[in-house]
Amino acid sequence: MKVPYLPSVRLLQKPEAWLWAIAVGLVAFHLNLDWRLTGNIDRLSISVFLWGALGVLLWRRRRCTLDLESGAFSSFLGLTLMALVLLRGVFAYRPDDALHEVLPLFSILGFGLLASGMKGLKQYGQEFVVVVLLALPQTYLSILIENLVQVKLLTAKLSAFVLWYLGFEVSRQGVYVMLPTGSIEINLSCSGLEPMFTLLRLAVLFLVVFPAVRIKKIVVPFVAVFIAFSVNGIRIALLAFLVAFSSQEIFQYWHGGSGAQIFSVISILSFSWFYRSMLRQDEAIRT
Amino acid sequence: MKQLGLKATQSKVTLWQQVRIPFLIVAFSSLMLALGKSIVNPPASAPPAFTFPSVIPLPGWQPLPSSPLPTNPQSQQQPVEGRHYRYIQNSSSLEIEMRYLVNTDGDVKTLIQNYTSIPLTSLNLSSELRQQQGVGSYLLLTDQQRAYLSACINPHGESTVTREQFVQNRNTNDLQPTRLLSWLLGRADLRDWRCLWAHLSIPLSKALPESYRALEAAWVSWDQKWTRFPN
Repeated sequence: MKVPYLPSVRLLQKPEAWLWAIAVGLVAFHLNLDWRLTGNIDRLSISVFLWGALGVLLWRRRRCTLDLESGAFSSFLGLTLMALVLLRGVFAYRPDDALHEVLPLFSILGFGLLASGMKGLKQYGQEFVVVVLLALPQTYLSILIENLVQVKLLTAKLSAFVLWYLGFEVSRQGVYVMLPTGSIEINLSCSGLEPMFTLLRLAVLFLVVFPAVRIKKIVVPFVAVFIAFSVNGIRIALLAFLVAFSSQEIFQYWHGGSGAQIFSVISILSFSWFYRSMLRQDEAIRT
Repeated sequence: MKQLGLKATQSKVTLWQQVRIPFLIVAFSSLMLALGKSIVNPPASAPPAFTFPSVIPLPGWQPLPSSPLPTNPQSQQQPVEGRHYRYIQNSSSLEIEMRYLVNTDGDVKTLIQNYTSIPLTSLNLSSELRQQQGVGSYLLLTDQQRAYLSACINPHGESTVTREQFVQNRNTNDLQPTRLLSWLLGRADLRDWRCLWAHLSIPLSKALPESYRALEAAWVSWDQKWTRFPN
Protein backbone atom coordinates (compact mmCIF):
# COMPACT_ATOMS: atom_id res chain seq x y z
CA MET A 1 0.00 0.00 0.00
CA LYS A 2 1.27 3.40 -0.92
CA VAL A 3 1.29 6.11 1.67
CA PRO A 4 -0.15 9.28 0.11
CA TYR A 5 2.44 12.02 -0.09
CA LEU A 6 1.39 15.02 1.95
CA PRO A 7 1.80 18.20 -0.09
CA SER A 8 2.70 20.20 3.02
CA VAL A 9 5.62 17.91 3.78
CA ARG A 10 6.92 18.26 0.25
CA LEU A 11 6.57 22.03 0.57
CA LEU A 12 8.79 22.02 3.65
CA GLN A 13 11.57 20.42 1.63
CA LYS A 14 11.77 23.51 -0.59
CA PRO A 15 13.75 26.58 0.46
CA GLU A 16 10.90 28.84 -0.74
CA ALA A 17 8.63 27.80 2.09
CA TRP A 18 11.26 28.52 4.73
CA LEU A 19 12.22 31.80 3.11
CA TRP A 20 8.62 33.00 3.19
CA ALA A 21 8.36 31.89 6.80
CA ILE A 22 11.51 33.84 7.66
CA ALA A 23 10.19 36.88 5.79
CA VAL A 24 6.93 36.84 7.72
CA GLY A 25 8.79 36.40 11.00
CA LEU A 26 11.10 39.28 10.16
CA VAL A 27 8.18 41.61 9.43
CA ALA A 28 6.51 40.59 12.68
CA PHE A 29 9.75 41.26 14.53
CA HIS A 30 10.16 44.73 13.07
CA LEU A 31 6.56 45.73 13.63
CA ASN A 32 6.74 44.53 17.21
CA LEU A 33 10.00 46.41 17.72
CA ASP A 34 8.55 49.61 16.23
CA TRP A 35 5.54 49.37 18.45
CA ARG A 36 7.48 48.49 21.56
CA LEU A 37 10.04 51.25 21.19
CA THR A 38 8.06 54.17 19.78
CA GLY A 39 4.42 53.42 20.60
CA ASN A 40 3.60 55.72 17.70
CA ILE A 41 0.47 54.55 15.89
CA ASP A 42 1.13 56.81 12.87
CA ARG A 43 4.56 55.36 12.32
CA LEU A 44 3.31 51.84 12.88
CA SER A 45 0.53 52.19 10.32
CA ILE A 46 2.85 53.54 7.63
CA SER A 47 5.24 50.67 8.40
CA VAL A 48 2.40 48.19 7.99
CA PHE A 49 1.60 49.79 4.63
CA LEU A 50 5.18 49.57 3.42
CA TRP A 51 5.78 46.01 4.60
CA GLY A 52 2.50 45.08 2.98
CA ALA A 53 3.58 46.67 -0.29
CA LEU A 54 6.86 44.79 -0.12
CA GLY A 55 4.95 41.57 0.37
CA VAL A 56 2.61 42.33 -2.52
CA LEU A 57 5.51 43.12 -4.85
CA LEU A 58 7.30 39.87 -4.02
CA TRP A 59 4.16 37.75 -4.02
CA ARG A 60 3.27 38.93 -7.52
CA ARG A 61 6.58 37.61 -8.80
CA ARG A 62 6.76 34.40 -6.79
CA ARG A 63 5.82 32.03 -9.65
CA CYS A 64 8.39 32.69 -12.30
CA THR A 65 10.64 35.66 -11.92
CA LEU A 66 12.20 35.23 -8.49
CA ASP A 67 15.60 33.61 -8.41
CA LEU A 68 15.96 32.01 -4.99
CA GLU A 69 19.40 30.44 -5.21
CA SER A 70 22.03 31.43 -2.69
CA GLY A 71 25.52 30.18 -1.97
CA ALA A 72 27.01 29.29 1.38
CA PHE A 73 28.98 32.51 1.76
CA SER A 74 26.05 34.80 0.94
CA SER A 75 23.78 32.81 3.22
CA PHE A 76 26.14 33.08 6.15
CA LEU A 77 26.69 36.78 5.53
CA GLY A 78 22.94 37.32 5.30
CA LEU A 79 22.28 35.38 8.47
CA THR A 80 24.97 37.36 10.30
CA LEU A 81 23.40 40.66 9.25
CA MET A 82 19.98 39.48 10.35
CA ALA A 83 21.36 38.16 13.61
CA LEU A 84 22.95 41.51 14.41
CA VAL A 85 19.65 43.29 13.83
CA LEU A 86 17.77 40.74 15.92
CA LEU A 87 20.31 41.00 18.69
CA ARG A 88 20.01 44.75 18.79
CA GLY A 89 16.25 44.52 18.63
CA VAL A 90 16.14 42.22 21.63
CA PHE A 91 18.49 44.36 23.70
CA ALA A 92 17.30 47.82 22.70
CA TYR A 93 15.08 49.73 25.04
CA ARG A 94 15.58 53.29 23.84
CA PRO A 95 13.16 54.71 21.34
CA ASP A 96 14.00 57.08 18.52
CA ASP A 97 17.54 56.89 17.41
CA ALA A 98 18.83 56.97 13.86
CA LEU A 99 20.10 53.41 13.99
CA HIS A 100 16.67 52.10 14.99
CA GLU A 101 15.09 53.82 12.03
CA VAL A 102 17.49 52.36 9.45
CA LEU A 103 17.45 48.86 10.99
CA PRO A 104 15.06 47.36 8.38
CA LEU A 105 17.63 48.19 5.71
CA PHE A 106 20.13 45.79 7.28
CA SER A 107 17.74 42.99 8.06
CA ILE A 108 16.22 43.06 4.58
CA LEU A 109 19.65 43.14 3.00
CA GLY A 110 20.50 40.12 5.12
CA PHE A 111 17.33 38.41 4.06
CA GLY A 112 18.02 39.19 0.40
CA LEU A 113 21.43 37.56 0.69
CA LEU A 114 19.93 34.56 2.41
CA ALA A 115 17.30 34.18 -0.29
CA SER A 116 19.06 35.08 -3.52
CA GLY A 117 22.76 35.61 -2.84
CA MET A 118 24.94 38.53 -3.87
CA LYS A 119 24.18 38.21 -7.57
CA GLY A 120 20.49 37.74 -6.98
CA LEU A 121 20.15 41.11 -5.23
CA LYS A 122 19.94 42.84 -8.61
CA GLN A 123 16.45 41.53 -9.22
CA TYR A 124 15.04 43.54 -6.31
CA GLY A 125 15.33 47.07 -7.75
CA GLN A 126 11.70 47.94 -7.22
CA GLU A 127 11.60 46.40 -3.77
CA PHE A 128 14.70 48.36 -2.86
CA VAL A 129 12.81 51.64 -3.29
CA VAL A 130 10.20 50.48 -0.78
CA VAL A 131 12.90 49.35 1.64
CA VAL A 132 14.59 52.75 1.51
CA LEU A 133 11.24 54.39 2.32
CA LEU A 134 10.81 51.97 5.18
CA ALA A 135 14.23 52.76 6.57
CA LEU A 136 14.22 56.54 6.18
CA PRO A 137 15.96 58.08 9.24
CA GLN A 138 13.06 60.50 9.59
CA THR A 139 13.99 62.15 12.88
CA TYR A 140 17.39 63.20 11.62
CA LEU A 141 16.24 64.09 8.13
CA SER A 142 13.65 66.38 9.70
CA ILE A 143 16.32 68.35 11.52
CA LEU A 144 18.46 68.50 8.39
CA ILE A 145 15.59 69.68 6.21
CA GLU A 146 14.50 72.23 8.81
CA ASN A 147 18.00 73.69 8.74
CA LEU A 148 17.92 73.92 4.96
CA VAL A 149 14.45 75.28 4.21
CA GLN A 150 12.99 76.55 7.51
CA VAL A 151 9.71 74.67 7.27
CA LYS A 152 8.66 76.08 10.65
CA LEU A 153 8.76 79.61 9.27
CA LEU A 154 6.87 78.66 6.12
CA THR A 155 4.20 76.94 8.22
CA ALA A 156 3.91 80.04 10.43
CA LYS A 157 3.51 82.22 7.33
CA LEU A 158 0.87 79.95 5.84
CA SER A 159 -1.21 79.74 9.00
CA ALA A 160 -0.93 83.50 9.58
CA PHE A 161 -2.11 84.00 6.01
CA VAL A 162 -5.06 81.64 6.50
CA LEU A 163 -6.08 83.53 9.65
CA TRP A 164 -5.65 86.90 7.95
CA TYR A 165 -7.75 85.73 5.01
CA LEU A 166 -10.51 84.72 7.41
CA GLY A 167 -10.49 88.24 8.82
CA PHE A 168 -8.66 87.75 12.10
CA GLU A 169 -6.41 90.39 13.57
CA VAL A 170 -3.27 88.31 13.21
CA SER A 171 0.40 89.19 13.39
CA ARG A 172 3.47 87.04 13.00
CA GLN A 173 6.95 87.32 14.42
CA GLY A 174 9.28 84.59 13.18
CA VAL A 175 7.73 81.28 14.17
CA TYR A 176 5.20 82.95 16.51
CA VAL A 177 1.66 83.42 15.25
CA MET A 178 -0.14 85.94 17.41
CA LEU A 179 -3.79 86.82 17.84
CA PRO A 180 -4.81 89.59 20.26
CA THR A 181 -5.70 87.12 23.04
CA GLY A 182 -3.18 84.36 22.52
CA SER A 183 -0.23 83.18 20.50
CA ILE A 184 1.42 79.95 19.44
CA GLU A 185 4.96 78.99 18.58
CA ILE A 186 5.55 76.52 15.78
CA ASN A 187 8.16 73.98 16.84
CA LEU A 188 9.71 71.17 14.82
CA SER A 189 7.10 68.57 15.72
CA CYS A 190 4.33 70.91 14.57
CA SER A 191 6.04 72.09 11.41
CA GLY A 192 4.33 69.46 9.29
CA LEU A 193 7.47 67.56 8.41
CA GLU A 194 6.06 64.38 9.88
CA PRO A 195 2.88 64.39 7.78
CA MET A 196 5.02 65.37 4.80
CA PHE A 197 7.18 62.30 5.28
CA THR A 198 4.11 60.14 5.74
CA LEU A 199 2.49 61.37 2.53
CA LEU A 200 5.76 61.17 0.63
CA ARG A 201 6.11 57.54 1.64
CA LEU A 202 2.54 56.91 0.65
CA ALA A 203 3.17 58.61 -2.71
CA VAL A 204 6.16 56.47 -3.58
CA LEU A 205 4.28 53.42 -2.37
CA PHE A 206 1.38 54.19 -4.71
CA LEU A 207 3.80 54.79 -7.58
CA VAL A 208 5.42 51.40 -7.05
CA VAL A 209 2.25 49.40 -6.55
CA PHE A 210 -0.02 51.24 -9.01
CA PRO A 211 2.35 52.59 -11.68
CA ALA A 212 1.53 55.90 -13.36
CA VAL A 213 2.66 57.60 -16.56
CA ARG A 214 6.29 58.70 -16.37
CA ILE A 215 5.87 62.51 -16.27
CA LYS A 216 3.33 62.18 -13.50
CA LYS A 217 5.76 60.12 -11.48
CA ILE A 218 7.78 63.28 -10.93
CA VAL A 219 4.76 65.40 -10.04
CA VAL A 220 3.18 63.00 -7.55
CA PRO A 221 5.73 63.38 -4.70
CA PHE A 222 5.49 67.18 -4.94
CA VAL A 223 1.70 67.02 -4.76
CA ALA A 224 1.99 64.78 -1.70
CA VAL A 225 4.31 67.21 0.09
CA PHE A 226 2.12 70.15 -0.91
CA ILE A 227 -1.05 68.51 0.42
CA ALA A 228 0.62 67.60 3.72
CA PHE A 229 2.02 71.12 4.12
CA SER A 230 -1.28 72.86 3.37
CA VAL A 231 -3.39 70.64 5.60
CA ASN A 232 -0.90 71.14 8.43
CA GLY A 233 -0.91 74.91 7.85
CA ILE A 234 -4.68 74.92 8.24
CA ARG A 235 -4.37 72.80 11.39
CA ILE A 236 -1.90 75.29 12.87
CA ALA A 237 -4.25 78.17 12.04
CA LEU A 238 -7.02 76.31 13.87
CA LEU A 239 -4.68 75.78 16.84
CA ALA A 240 -3.84 79.49 17.00
CA PHE A 241 -7.56 80.26 16.88
CA LEU A 242 -8.21 77.80 19.72
CA VAL A 243 -5.45 79.23 21.89
CA ALA A 244 -6.88 82.70 21.44
CA PHE A 245 -10.59 81.96 21.72
CA SER A 246 -11.10 78.59 23.37
CA SER A 247 -10.15 76.37 26.30
CA GLN A 248 -6.94 74.46 26.98
CA GLU A 249 -8.74 71.10 26.75
CA ILE A 250 -10.06 71.72 23.26
CA PHE A 251 -6.60 72.89 22.23
CA GLN A 252 -5.09 69.66 23.57
CA TYR A 253 -7.61 67.61 21.64
CA TRP A 254 -6.60 69.23 18.35
CA HIS A 255 -2.91 69.52 19.20
CA GLY A 256 -1.98 66.02 20.23
CA GLY A 257 -5.20 64.09 20.69
CA SER A 258 -7.65 62.53 18.30
CA GLY A 259 -8.20 65.88 16.61
CA ALA A 260 -4.65 65.81 15.28
CA GLN A 261 -5.33 62.36 13.81
CA ILE A 262 -8.35 63.71 11.96
CA PHE A 263 -6.06 66.04 10.06
CA SER A 264 -3.67 63.27 9.07
CA VAL A 265 -6.65 61.23 7.88
CA ILE A 266 -7.81 64.24 5.85
CA SER A 267 -4.46 64.63 4.14
CA ILE A 268 -4.14 60.89 3.42
CA LEU A 269 -7.66 60.76 2.01
CA SER A 270 -7.19 63.82 -0.18
CA PHE A 271 -3.93 62.47 -1.55
CA SER A 272 -5.50 59.08 -2.24
CA TRP A 273 -8.37 60.80 -3.99
CA PHE A 274 -5.90 62.79 -6.11
CA TYR A 275 -3.96 59.66 -7.06
CA ARG A 276 -7.07 57.72 -7.95
CA SER A 277 -8.46 60.43 -10.19
CA MET A 278 -5.06 60.72 -11.85
CA LEU A 279 -5.00 57.00 -12.60
CA ARG A 280 -8.52 57.20 -14.01
CA GLN A 281 -7.43 59.98 -16.30
CA ASP A 282 -4.55 57.78 -17.49
CA GLU A 283 -6.94 54.95 -18.23
CA ALA A 284 -9.27 57.26 -20.09
CA ILE A 285 -6.38 58.39 -22.30
CA ARG A 286 -5.24 54.83 -22.93
CA THR A 287 -8.65 53.53 -24.00
CA MET B 1 41.32 14.62 -14.09
CA LYS B 2 38.94 17.08 -15.56
CA GLN B 3 36.02 14.80 -14.93
CA LEU B 4 37.06 14.34 -11.34
CA GLY B 5 37.24 18.08 -10.78
CA LEU B 6 33.81 18.51 -12.25
CA LYS B 7 32.46 15.81 -10.01
CA ALA B 8 33.99 17.44 -6.98
CA THR B 9 32.31 20.80 -7.64
CA GLN B 10 29.03 19.08 -8.39
CA SER B 11 29.03 17.26 -5.11
CA LYS B 12 29.99 20.49 -3.34
CA VAL B 13 26.99 22.24 -4.79
CA THR B 14 24.68 19.44 -3.83
CA LEU B 15 26.18 19.43 -0.37
CA TRP B 16 25.20 23.08 0.12
CA GLN B 17 21.82 22.37 -1.39
CA GLN B 18 21.37 19.61 1.11
CA VAL B 19 22.51 21.79 3.96
CA ARG B 20 20.49 24.81 2.87
CA ILE B 21 17.15 23.60 4.20
CA PRO B 22 18.47 22.78 7.71
CA PHE B 23 20.36 26.07 7.60
CA LEU B 24 17.14 27.96 6.84
CA ILE B 25 15.36 26.02 9.57
CA VAL B 26 18.02 27.11 12.06
CA ALA B 27 17.68 30.70 10.84
CA PHE B 28 13.91 30.53 11.20
CA SER B 29 14.07 29.04 14.68
CA SER B 30 16.48 31.66 15.97
CA LEU B 31 14.28 34.35 14.44
CA MET B 32 11.29 32.91 16.29
CA LEU B 33 13.29 32.92 19.53
CA ALA B 34 14.25 36.57 19.02
CA LEU B 35 10.65 37.45 18.14
CA GLY B 36 9.40 35.70 21.24
CA LYS B 37 11.90 37.50 23.42
CA SER B 38 11.06 40.82 21.82
CA ILE B 39 7.33 40.31 22.40
CA VAL B 40 7.87 39.39 26.03
CA ASN B 41 10.17 42.39 26.58
CA PRO B 42 8.42 45.25 28.32
CA PRO B 43 7.72 48.37 26.24
CA ALA B 44 10.45 51.00 26.07
CA SER B 45 10.81 52.00 29.68
CA ALA B 46 11.21 55.52 30.91
CA PRO B 47 14.75 56.29 31.99
CA PRO B 48 15.40 55.92 35.73
CA ALA B 49 13.80 58.69 37.69
CA PHE B 50 15.84 61.21 39.56
CA THR B 51 15.25 61.30 43.29
CA PHE B 52 15.71 64.81 44.52
CA PRO B 53 17.00 65.09 48.08
CA SER B 54 14.46 66.83 50.27
CA VAL B 55 17.03 69.03 52.01
CA ILE B 56 20.11 70.57 50.48
CA PRO B 57 22.22 72.75 52.75
CA LEU B 58 23.20 76.02 51.20
CA PRO B 59 25.88 78.09 52.96
CA GLY B 60 24.50 81.33 54.35
CA TRP B 61 20.89 80.31 53.77
CA GLN B 62 18.45 78.60 56.10
CA PRO B 63 16.40 75.85 54.38
CA LEU B 64 12.60 75.71 54.58
CA PRO B 65 10.70 72.50 53.73
CA SER B 66 10.91 71.68 50.02
CA SER B 67 8.07 70.24 47.95
CA PRO B 68 7.84 68.26 44.69
CA LEU B 69 6.86 70.25 41.62
CA PRO B 70 3.81 69.21 39.58
CA THR B 71 5.18 66.74 37.02
CA ASN B 72 3.09 67.93 34.13
CA PRO B 73 2.23 71.63 34.07
CA GLN B 74 0.96 71.65 30.49
CA SER B 75 -0.11 68.29 29.18
CA GLN B 76 1.68 68.92 25.90
CA GLN B 77 4.99 68.59 27.72
CA GLN B 78 6.65 65.35 28.76
CA PRO B 79 6.17 64.67 32.47
CA VAL B 80 9.16 66.05 34.29
CA GLU B 81 10.37 65.36 37.81
CA GLY B 82 11.10 68.44 39.82
CA ARG B 83 11.43 69.90 43.28
CA HIS B 84 10.82 73.30 44.75
CA TYR B 85 13.42 74.37 47.34
CA ARG B 86 12.96 77.39 49.61
CA TYR B 87 15.52 79.25 51.71
CA ILE B 88 15.57 82.33 53.90
CA GLN B 89 18.31 84.68 54.97
CA ASN B 90 17.44 87.54 57.32
CA SER B 91 14.49 89.12 55.55
CA SER B 92 15.39 87.85 52.12
CA SER B 93 14.03 84.65 50.60
CA LEU B 94 15.34 82.41 47.84
CA GLU B 95 13.25 80.03 45.78
CA ILE B 96 14.81 77.35 43.60
CA GLU B 97 12.91 75.19 41.15
CA MET B 98 14.91 72.18 40.02
CA ARG B 99 13.76 70.00 37.13
CA TYR B 100 15.31 66.85 35.72
CA LEU B 101 14.98 66.81 31.93
CA VAL B 102 15.95 63.61 30.13
CA ASN B 103 15.70 64.60 26.50
CA THR B 104 16.16 68.30 25.98
CA ASP B 105 17.88 70.60 23.54
CA GLY B 106 19.11 72.63 26.50
CA ASP B 107 17.48 75.89 25.44
CA VAL B 108 16.76 77.54 28.78
CA LYS B 109 14.59 80.31 27.27
CA THR B 110 12.23 77.71 25.83
CA LEU B 111 12.16 75.91 29.17
CA ILE B 112 11.25 79.14 30.96
CA GLN B 113 8.42 79.70 28.49
CA ASN B 114 7.11 76.17 28.85
CA TYR B 115 7.35 75.73 32.60
CA THR B 116 7.01 79.16 34.18
CA SER B 117 4.59 82.05 33.88
CA ILE B 118 7.27 84.57 32.91
CA PRO B 119 5.99 86.26 29.74
CA LEU B 120 7.97 86.32 26.52
CA THR B 121 8.38 90.10 26.71
CA SER B 122 10.26 90.04 30.03
CA LEU B 123 12.31 87.15 28.74
CA ASN B 124 13.29 89.06 25.66
CA LEU B 125 13.76 92.50 27.20
CA SER B 126 15.44 91.88 30.55
CA SER B 127 17.43 88.70 30.09
CA GLU B 128 21.19 88.81 30.25
CA LEU B 129 23.61 85.97 29.55
CA ARG B 130 26.64 85.77 31.84
CA GLN B 131 29.54 83.41 32.18
CA GLN B 132 31.83 82.46 35.05
CA GLN B 133 35.00 80.41 34.94
CA GLY B 134 34.56 76.96 36.49
CA VAL B 135 30.78 77.25 36.74
CA GLY B 136 29.61 78.01 33.24
CA SER B 137 26.89 80.16 31.74
CA TYR B 138 23.65 81.33 33.30
CA LEU B 139 20.78 83.62 32.41
CA LEU B 140 19.72 86.56 34.54
CA LEU B 141 16.35 88.25 34.16
CA THR B 142 13.66 90.17 36.01
CA ASP B 143 9.90 89.97 35.94
CA GLN B 144 7.30 91.50 38.24
CA GLN B 145 9.51 92.46 41.18
CA ARG B 146 11.52 89.25 41.11
CA ALA B 147 15.05 88.60 39.90
CA TYR B 148 15.72 85.21 38.31
CA LEU B 149 18.76 83.11 37.52
CA SER B 150 18.26 80.19 35.18
CA ALA B 151 20.72 77.60 33.86
CA CYS B 152 21.09 74.03 32.74
CA ILE B 153 23.42 71.84 34.84
CA ASN B 154 25.02 69.39 32.38
CA PRO B 155 25.88 65.73 32.97
CA HIS B 156 29.36 66.49 31.69
CA GLY B 157 30.86 69.95 31.37
CA GLU B 158 29.94 73.35 32.75
CA SER B 159 26.41 74.72 32.97
CA THR B 160 24.80 76.09 29.82
CA VAL B 161 21.99 78.40 28.73
CA THR B 162 21.66 78.25 24.96
CA ARG B 163 21.10 75.31 22.69
CA GLU B 164 24.46 75.89 21.02
CA GLN B 165 26.35 75.75 24.33
CA PHE B 166 24.53 72.57 25.32
CA VAL B 167 25.22 70.85 21.99
CA GLN B 168 28.85 71.97 22.16
CA ASN B 169 29.18 70.32 25.57
CA ARG B 170 27.59 67.13 24.28
CA ASN B 171 29.93 66.89 21.35
CA THR B 172 33.08 67.60 23.32
CA ASN B 173 32.35 65.58 26.47
CA ASP B 174 29.95 62.76 25.66
CA LEU B 175 31.38 60.91 22.68
CA GLN B 176 33.15 58.04 24.44
CA PRO B 177 33.85 54.45 23.29
CA THR B 178 31.64 52.94 26.01
CA ARG B 179 28.74 55.09 24.90
CA LEU B 180 29.32 53.94 21.32
CA LEU B 181 28.84 50.30 22.32
CA SER B 182 25.63 50.90 24.21
CA TRP B 183 24.43 53.04 21.30
CA LEU B 184 25.03 50.15 18.91
CA LEU B 185 22.96 47.94 21.19
CA GLY B 186 20.20 50.53 21.40
CA ARG B 187 20.62 51.11 25.11
CA ALA B 188 21.81 54.70 25.12
CA ASP B 189 22.03 57.71 22.89
CA LEU B 190 25.42 58.72 21.55
CA ARG B 191 25.14 61.92 23.52
CA ASP B 192 23.68 62.40 26.97
CA TRP B 193 20.76 64.79 26.43
CA ARG B 194 19.94 65.26 30.10
CA CYS B 195 19.96 68.44 32.07
CA LEU B 196 19.17 69.54 35.58
CA TRP B 197 17.48 72.83 35.02
CA ALA B 198 17.91 75.24 37.94
CA HIS B 199 15.59 78.22 38.17
CA LEU B 200 16.50 80.49 41.11
CA SER B 201 14.64 83.61 42.14
CA ILE B 202 14.64 86.28 44.86
CA PRO B 203 12.31 89.22 45.42
CA LEU B 204 13.59 92.42 43.91
CA SER B 205 13.77 94.50 47.05
CA LYS B 206 17.19 96.09 46.56
CA ALA B 207 18.84 97.49 43.48
CA LEU B 208 18.99 95.19 40.52
CA PRO B 209 22.79 94.63 40.40
CA GLU B 210 22.73 93.78 44.10
CA SER B 211 19.97 91.20 43.62
CA TYR B 212 21.88 89.71 40.73
CA ARG B 213 25.00 89.49 42.90
CA ALA B 214 23.06 87.67 45.62
CA LEU B 215 21.68 85.25 43.03
CA GLU B 216 25.11 84.64 41.55
CA ALA B 217 26.60 83.91 44.95
CA ALA B 218 23.85 81.40 45.72
CA TRP B 219 24.21 79.89 42.25
CA VAL B 220 27.93 79.16 42.59
CA SER B 221 27.42 77.09 45.74
CA TRP B 222 24.18 75.56 44.42
CA ASP B 223 25.88 74.36 41.22
CA GLN B 224 28.49 72.46 43.23
CA LYS B 225 25.79 70.39 44.95
CA TRP B 226 24.65 68.82 41.67
CA THR B 227 27.56 66.89 40.28
CA ARG B 228 26.10 63.40 40.04
CA PHE B 229 23.55 62.28 37.48
CA PRO B 230 21.84 58.88 37.86
CA ASN B 231 22.98 56.17 35.46
